[in-house]
Amino acid sequence: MSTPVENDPLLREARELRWQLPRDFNDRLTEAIYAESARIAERTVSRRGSSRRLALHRRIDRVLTNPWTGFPVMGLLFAFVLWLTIAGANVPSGLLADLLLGEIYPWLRGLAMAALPAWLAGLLVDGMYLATAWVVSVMLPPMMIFFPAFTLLEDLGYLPRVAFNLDRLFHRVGAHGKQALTMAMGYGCNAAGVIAARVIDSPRERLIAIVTNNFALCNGRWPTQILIATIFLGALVPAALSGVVAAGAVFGVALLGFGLSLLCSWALSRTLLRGEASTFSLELPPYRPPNILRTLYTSLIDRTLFVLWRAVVFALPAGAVIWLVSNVQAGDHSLAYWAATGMDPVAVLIGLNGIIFLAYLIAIPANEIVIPSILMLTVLLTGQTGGEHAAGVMFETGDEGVHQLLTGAGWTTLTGVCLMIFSLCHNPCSTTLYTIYKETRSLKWTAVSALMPTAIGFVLCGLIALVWRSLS
Amino acid sequence: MNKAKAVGEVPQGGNLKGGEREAVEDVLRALLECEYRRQPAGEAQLGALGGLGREAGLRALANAKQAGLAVENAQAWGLTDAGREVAVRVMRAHRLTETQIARTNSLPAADWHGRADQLEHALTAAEVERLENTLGHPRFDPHGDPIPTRDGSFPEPEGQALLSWPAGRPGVISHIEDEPPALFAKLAGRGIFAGMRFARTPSAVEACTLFLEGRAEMLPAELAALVRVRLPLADEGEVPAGACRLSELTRGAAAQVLALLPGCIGAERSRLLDLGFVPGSRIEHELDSPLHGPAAFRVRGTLIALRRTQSDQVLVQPEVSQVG
Repeated sequence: MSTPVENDPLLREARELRWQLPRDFNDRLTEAIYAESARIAERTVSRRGSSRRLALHRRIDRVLTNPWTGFPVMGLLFAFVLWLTIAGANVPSGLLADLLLGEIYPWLRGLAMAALPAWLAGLLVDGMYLATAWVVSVMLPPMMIFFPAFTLLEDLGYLPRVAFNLDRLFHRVGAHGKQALTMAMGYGCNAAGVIAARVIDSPRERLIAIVTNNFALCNGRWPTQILIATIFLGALVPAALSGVVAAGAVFGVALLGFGLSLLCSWALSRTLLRGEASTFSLELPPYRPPNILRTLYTSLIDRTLFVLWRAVVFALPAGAVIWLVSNVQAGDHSLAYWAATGMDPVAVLIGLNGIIFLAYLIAIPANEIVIPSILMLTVLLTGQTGGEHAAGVMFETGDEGVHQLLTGAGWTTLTGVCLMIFSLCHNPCSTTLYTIYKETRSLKWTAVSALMPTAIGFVLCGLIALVWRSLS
Repeated sequence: MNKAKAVGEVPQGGNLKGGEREAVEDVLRALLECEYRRQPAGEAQLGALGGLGREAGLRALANAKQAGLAVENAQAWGLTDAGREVAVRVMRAHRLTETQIARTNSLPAADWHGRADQLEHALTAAEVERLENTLGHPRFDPHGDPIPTRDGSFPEPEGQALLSWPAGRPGVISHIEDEPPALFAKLAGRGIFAGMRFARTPSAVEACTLFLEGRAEMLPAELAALVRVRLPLADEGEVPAGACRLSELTRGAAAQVLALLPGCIGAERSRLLDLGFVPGSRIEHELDSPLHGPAAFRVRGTLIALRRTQSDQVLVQPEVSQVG
């Protein structure tokens, strides 16, 4: 039996001709389409001169991507946004705390105590309400400054320039230049950063971007960084400088995160995810004057409120859990006491304490509630009561109060520094982990994303504690 | 050749098991390769082409003969019709897989061959068909080798060794051997791929000097030995004088795109075409990033950043005003 091609002269000729087509005939088609559309456009589109704006854009681009000024401008802009957040959030944060914790809380507590059984009043008001109030007063003001500022930079068209400047670094470590963009998304929310990694085509580089995204501090961790930097490092210098020092410290941690993500990308692309850097083409859009009002509106609605809502949703049950572990007794002490003292030896070894570990366990669903959890547990376990209030209750207001509370519980500058590092390097929140699983469909990579940063956190904090203690 | 065996039942290299079957398929593919190149198929050559040692090669040939897939004539081996069917399927699987890997830019060039070697035995005839359909029936793999059609049709073999090509005559790289992979990776790393136009320039040293798509390249003999070349086809014009790569354009200079070179393949090629990197477009080198990273080019009103390996694969004609 013979194949049809052998019998049909037409098919046979087609088969012969097939090999004689020019190899780039696909390109020629595209070329013809472009030529035709250019001809049509020339006939129908009229253009008003905008060469002056173009020239201005070029001058700006020269400065922003210059080998000498590009990086400093990038660093300064980022540090400025941080400083603005820290300096600007202080006062409203204090006002909110006064209102929610100083005014509303005692009133609500009195009301609940009168109407409900003591345990239920404790659970609802001392647990759930207080955790939520803390989250709101700690997080809302910095977010209201940080997010709009970041959105403004985004809208201006600056972020693609950042990716352009940093591409060489990512290229060197075998990662994709657009990882700079996914990291930028991660500074808002790691789950969003993980999803944003879809813009990377190469599966290998996409995995690298997903696994290392956790090193971009997310909004749940910025408040932790800012608060701890302000009360432990800012307090070391005269008041006039404290904002700058705190911003510098947070900037340093963010920079460390960037360095770690490069390092991990490098390590991954030489071990588990071996391979060469692929190519990338990135459009650098023209600068657009941002619409300030729209930016404010969208960043408030889309980001601030969204993130705050998520924090509140997680804070309510977490507050209940904290109140329960602090008030349910096992033997002579509460559950929280046993857990915290049990973990204390390991935690102290790496410059932290058992309470911080316990808080991180409770806060796995959302990083936002780490600080409130730490404060609540500290009040309870160290027996520092605030005036007439019961133990297990978060009551302190303002940075000064938090500082007193924590130093009273034995915190030192070392604890603060190690907490900042640990906040950068630990497992991502459960939402992010779930997103990683959904995006990669792999338990292995989800586990790597959780364990790798945690291991690095333990090692870094351990080293810092070791050096610190041997020096002092 | 038209006495093809009854279709329907697909020969899978006889009733042999795993490793042995793969060895037989390797040796059959090598036989087909020899047939295409019009080379006599000696035993040593087959073992080497099939990626097997001499001993394993002989055993595989014996197995193939027993299964009625290969026959031994006077000095050389040949394929039976059943054997050719297997060989064509395996070769198609190999070259289509390489094409697919290259197009998705997912692996470095040095790993294409190894991955394809694993997959060529795993794909069934139906899967090979499906792969060919999704790729849009490509005719050549990234090494410049023709991908046989389902009924085993090839173009006329073409080309000769680069080292025997006379100086001064323009030519086109028709094939780059992918064994050994380390050397192939070196060529790929320098952005040298099948389909590029060149002229050999006379040189005193032993190395082979080329003027390759607007750029002077010097290939040491061991690299040049991997390259086979042919005469340009009627529609493959010469590289215009003064043309250079986009990566060599100084900042502020403008040029006209002449061609996307063959090293730019698959999704990346489509993307660059979509962005307007088509012959005839005016392009301006506007920005350089710090640390000698990517450069940004203005093309058709937008600013596009490309890494150097990519701008290396765009041939341009600098505008005269910039030179003078």
